[in-house]
Amino acid sequence: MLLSIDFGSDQPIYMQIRNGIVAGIASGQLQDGDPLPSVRTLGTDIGVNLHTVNKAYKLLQSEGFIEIQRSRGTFIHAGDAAKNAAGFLQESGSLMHTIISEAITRNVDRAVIHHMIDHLYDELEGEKS
Amino acid sequence: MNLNVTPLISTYLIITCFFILQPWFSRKNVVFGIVFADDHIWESSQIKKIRRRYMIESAASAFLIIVGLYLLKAAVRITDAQMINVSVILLIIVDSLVFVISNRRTRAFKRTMQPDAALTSRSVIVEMKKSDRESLLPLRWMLLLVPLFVATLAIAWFGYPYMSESIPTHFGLTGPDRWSHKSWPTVLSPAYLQVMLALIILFIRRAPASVRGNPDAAPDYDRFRKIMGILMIALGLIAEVIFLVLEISFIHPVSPAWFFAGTIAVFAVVLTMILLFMRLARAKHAAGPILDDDGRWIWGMFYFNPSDPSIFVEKRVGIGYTINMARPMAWIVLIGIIAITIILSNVH
Repeated sequence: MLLSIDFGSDQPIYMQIRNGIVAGIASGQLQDGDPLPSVRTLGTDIGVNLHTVNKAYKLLQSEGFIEIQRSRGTFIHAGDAAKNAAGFLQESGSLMHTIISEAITRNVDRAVIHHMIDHLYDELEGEKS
Repeated sequence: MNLNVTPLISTYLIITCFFILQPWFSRKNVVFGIVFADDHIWESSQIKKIRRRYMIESAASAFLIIVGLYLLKAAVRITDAQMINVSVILLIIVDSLVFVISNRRTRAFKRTMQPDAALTSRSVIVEMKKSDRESLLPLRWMLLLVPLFVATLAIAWFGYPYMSESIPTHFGLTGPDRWSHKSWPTVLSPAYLQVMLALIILFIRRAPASVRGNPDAAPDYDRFRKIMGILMIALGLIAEVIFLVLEISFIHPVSPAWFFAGTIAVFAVVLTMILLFMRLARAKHAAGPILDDDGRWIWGMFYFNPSDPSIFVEKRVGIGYTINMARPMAWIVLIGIIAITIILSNVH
């Protein structure tokens, strides 16, 4: 799985790493047990501070997407994330709230938003199958 | 000229050849330290012209330096050996300057090209599905260096009472040319050198490729780096044997053939490294977006990148590795190595 980091983006690099890995899991490109490069290797490959990578990995670990084993390395372990859907729904609720509010103020029909969501689901699940 | 200067003359000629052939010691899309997206740039007429100028200028300066100093020798009283030593230093300075000028010319040429969409400074793509196990040489390879190190230490420790009072500490091309009084620092110096060599091998284990941007910017680099790591360990083993024999020579005279064989073996490994670089790095075709990081390479020679955590990186031009000058750790290692070398060569 390839991760693209955009240095010109407003989004912090650690979030780009985090989101890239989550997208990789969603699309099935990363599966349970797949190895990830170590903090040092990924930092070197991208050319960023090791703290940045460490922050992303710690976040992913606390969210239950990866498992960091001291001696063996870092692995995808998304089982815990699936169990923790409630927390995610609560957090994304407020994010959705902002998106829907803005859609209403801009007169965007709810069908368009529905369609967008369906499309993204199809795209990621399509990659999976 | 007497026979004693033949090795010095050969050194001068080898350095001259290395300078003239410099353009062949980098990846095809890196010209005098300037990166291009496509390796067809090597065949472009402007680049050919810059390359030809560089080769003529470096060859001509090498010729002028040696002839000039030879003529000067008639006026000033210096020995042949001194003359060639001065020539070698001058050659390195002048030809490095010629290189820097070619780096500027290439950079100016790159600016005249249309902005290349395949060159990026904004983003980088990395492969996520890989573990350190597959991409790095396992640390257990380093264990190969342990037995000879222990043997060297043991000889120094148990052999100390049997060593003669004067110990060779400096070797010219014809054999030992400087001696010191026996002391623990002198006797242990081969062991120090072994430790430093091992540290360098450890550092370059993670050295990233000099061309980046996406996994195909330097195709199959992980494998190449592993092979280079194994060859570096081979080099380390040869050096350890040389140091071990050196340690033995403190107690009992050894045949110079040992040192000669060691030197031949070092040359053989270095030659293998050059050939492998040609096959596994230079011959590969770079593809995909390439990171435009010329600004990180001062004069195309020195790497300075504060955001790169690497301490050692693959050299942009030439085969081997260099330090990331933006990292304090790299300076500590470099100054440490130089300081210890100077201290060791001055103990009496």
